[in-house]
Amino acid sequence: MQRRTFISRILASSFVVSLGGYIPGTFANAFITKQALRSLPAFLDTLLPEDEAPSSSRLGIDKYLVEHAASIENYLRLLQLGCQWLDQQASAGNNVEFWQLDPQEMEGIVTTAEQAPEGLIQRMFFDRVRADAFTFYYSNPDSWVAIGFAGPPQPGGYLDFAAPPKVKR
Amino acid sequence: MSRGDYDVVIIGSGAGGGTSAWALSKAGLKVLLLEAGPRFDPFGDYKLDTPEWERPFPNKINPAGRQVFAEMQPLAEKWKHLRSWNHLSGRLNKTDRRQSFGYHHVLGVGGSSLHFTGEAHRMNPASMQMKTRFGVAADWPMSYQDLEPFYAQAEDVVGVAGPAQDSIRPRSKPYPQKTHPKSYASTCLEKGFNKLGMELTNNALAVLSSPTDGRANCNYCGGCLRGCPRRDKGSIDVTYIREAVATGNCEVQSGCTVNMIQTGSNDTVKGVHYHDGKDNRFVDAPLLIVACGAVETPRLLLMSQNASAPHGLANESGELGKNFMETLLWTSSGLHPEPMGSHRGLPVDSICWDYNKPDAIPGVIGGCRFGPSQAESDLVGPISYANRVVGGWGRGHRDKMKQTFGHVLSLTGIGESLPNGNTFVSLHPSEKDAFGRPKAYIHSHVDEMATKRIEFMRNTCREVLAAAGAGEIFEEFSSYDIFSSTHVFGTCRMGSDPQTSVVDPWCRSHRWRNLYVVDASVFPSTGGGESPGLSIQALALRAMNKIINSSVEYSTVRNSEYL
Repeated sequence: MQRRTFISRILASSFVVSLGGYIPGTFANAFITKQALRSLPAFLDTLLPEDEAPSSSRLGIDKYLVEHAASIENYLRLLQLGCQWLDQQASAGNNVEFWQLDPQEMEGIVTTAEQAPEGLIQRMFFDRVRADAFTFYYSNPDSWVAIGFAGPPQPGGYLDFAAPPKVKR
Repeated sequence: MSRGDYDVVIIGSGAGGGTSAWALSKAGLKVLLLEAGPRFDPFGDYKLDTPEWERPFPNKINPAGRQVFAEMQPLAEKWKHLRSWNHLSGRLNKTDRRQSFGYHHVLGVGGSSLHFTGEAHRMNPASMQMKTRFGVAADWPMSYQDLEPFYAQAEDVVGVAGPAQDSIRPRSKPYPQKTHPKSYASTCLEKGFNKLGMELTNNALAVLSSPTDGRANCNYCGGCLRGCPRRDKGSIDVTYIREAVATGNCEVQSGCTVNMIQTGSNDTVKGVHYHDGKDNRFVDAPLLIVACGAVETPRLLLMSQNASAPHGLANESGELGKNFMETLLWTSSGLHPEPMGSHRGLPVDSICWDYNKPDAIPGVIGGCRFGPSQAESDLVGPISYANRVVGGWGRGHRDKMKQTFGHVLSLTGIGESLPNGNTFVSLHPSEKDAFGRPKAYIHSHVDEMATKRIEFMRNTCREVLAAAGAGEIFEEFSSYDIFSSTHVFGTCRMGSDPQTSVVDPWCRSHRWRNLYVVDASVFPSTGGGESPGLSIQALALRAMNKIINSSVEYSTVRNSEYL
C-alpha cells in the first residue's frame, strides 16, 4: 500500500465527485421523487445536525449527494428506496412523512436503519449515505472550525507543528 | 526516431531512472527517458490548498491494471492477533486468506517518489551480508564504504536534512540540510519510547529545511503523500530530472509504454519497442537502462524473451522474478487523551533504529524500524476521523469529533523481508493489460520468520503507544493478512556470480553487455525497514559513474560500437 492510500480507501467512502457546480438535473430527478427529496435533507440533518457548525442541509450536502448518486449505477435507486423506507416508518405511527417528525422520532427511525441486518435496503442506505455524507460534509471548510481543524494544509502549512495545539475547543 | 539519436535509453523515471538520466546527461551523453505514466505539475495537480485536500494522491493512471495476484496463504488461527482491524468496521480482510487490495505505486514522471514521505535512508552496514552472516537472502556485492560517496552525492542532489550524528551509518560529510525539528505529537511519542529505554531520533528526509536552488523550504503541512506543491520534497521530478533536462541532453517522453526489448548481436540489446500513446515506435538503445521497479522490471524482461533468450532477457541464471521481497509492516493507531495536533508536521519526522540490525530482534533474523505514522495511515483529516476514528452519527458523533480531532497517535514498524520460494513475480498465463501485454503475476507468502517479525513489531508498537499515553487502540494494519507494496525488492538480484544473480555488482546484466537494471529489484536484501529510495539513487550513481569513467565503455557507447 500502497498502505498509505489503501487504508483510507477501504475504510472511507468513495471520494470521487467534484464538489463544485451542482445543478439540479432532470436526469437525477427522473430517478428520485420530490417526496424522497423532501426526506433526504432531514435524514442527513439527523446524521449531521447543526451545532457550532451548520447542519448538513445548510451546507447543501443533499444536493451534492444526489449529483454524486447520479454518477453511480443504482445509487439513485438506493436513495429513492431508502427515503421511501424512512417515510413508511414515519407514516406507520403518525401518517406523516419522515421530514415532518420531531428530531427524537427521526433518530429512532435512523437507529432502526443502522441496526438492521446487512443486506437490507435500509441498512445499505444508512451505511452508504452516512459514509458519503461524512465525506461531503467534512470536505466543507464550514464544518472544520468546530472540531479544531484550521486547514486546508496549504498554503500556510503548520508552522506551529512543534508546539502543543492552541486550537480552542 | 532513428538509430543514433540517443546514446542511452532509460525505461522508468523513478529513483533509478531519474538518477541515471541525471548522471549520464551531465556527462554529456544523449539520454531518452521513457515513462509510462504522465507528468505531474506540483503547482496544479496537488490540491492541498483546497477543500478537497483530503483526497488521495491524484493518480492519473491506475497501476492496478498491470498486475494479478495469485491466491495467497490461508490465515492461521494462531496468528489471529496479527490481523488488520478497525474498531468500527471490524476485520479489514473479511476472508480467511491473505489478500491484496491493490498494487499502489505511482505511474508518472518521478515515479513513486511523487507520493513518498521523503525518507532518505542509507543501508545499515550490518544488513548487507545476510547470506554470510545468517544464511538467508544474498550478500550485497559491495561494501557500505563502496556506496558511501554515492550516498553523499545523492543527499546533495535531493537535499537531505538529517541529524548531525549517526553512529550506525558512518558518514564522510554532514547532511546538506539542517535536521527538521520533531512535531509535538512525535515528542509525545518519544516519551513513550524513552520510558521503554528506546530512542526516537530525527529522521533523514529529502525535505528542505532551508530554501535551495529555487525550491522552497518545508512548511510542515504533512501532505507529502498527496504530492508536494512547494517542491521542498526532493522527489525525482523536481531534482534529478529537472537538472537532467536543463543540461539539454535529456529528453523525457511521458505516456510511453515499452512492450519489448529487442536483442542484437554479440550479447547486446538493440533497442526497445514502445507505444507513445498514439503509435508503436522503436528506438535504438546503444545503452539501455531498465528502472521500472521490482515488479515491472522483471515483467518487461520476461516479456522480452526470444530465441536467444528463451526464458526471458537476462534470465540465464533462472533467478529473474525470484527473490521477491515485499513490505512487512505493522501499524497501531491509538487515541491520546490530550490534544496532540497530530495532523501537523512531517509524516515521518523521527525514527527508532534500536531494532534495525538483523540480529536485534530476539529469536528472529532480520531487523525493523519504528516511526510515527499518522500521515501514512491517513489519519490527518476530518473525513478519516469521521469514518475511521469516531463513527456514529448525530450529536454524539459531532461531540466526539470535537473531542477527538488531533488526538490520534500512530506508530508503524517496518521490517526486513527475506526471500522465500513462494514469493516471486512471473507473467500471468492468460490475463493481459490494456496494451495486450501479459500482466505481472505476483506470488506472495509470509513465512513463519516473517510472521514472528510482524508479531514483534505489533507488540512493540502497542507497548510504545501505551507508554506514550495512547493505549486506546482503535485500528491496526498488518501485512500478515494484507499484502503491502510500499517497498518491493529483489527480482533482479545483484551479485558477482552469474549462476545466482541477474546483474553484476555494477547493475549490468551478466550476459547482455549494454543492459543495466537500476532499481530496487537488484537489492540482494532489504535491510531492516530502511526506505530504499536513497540506496537506489546511490546504486545508480555508482553504476553510472563506472560507465562514465570507463573509457572503453564510454567510447563504446558514444561510437555505438554495440550496434
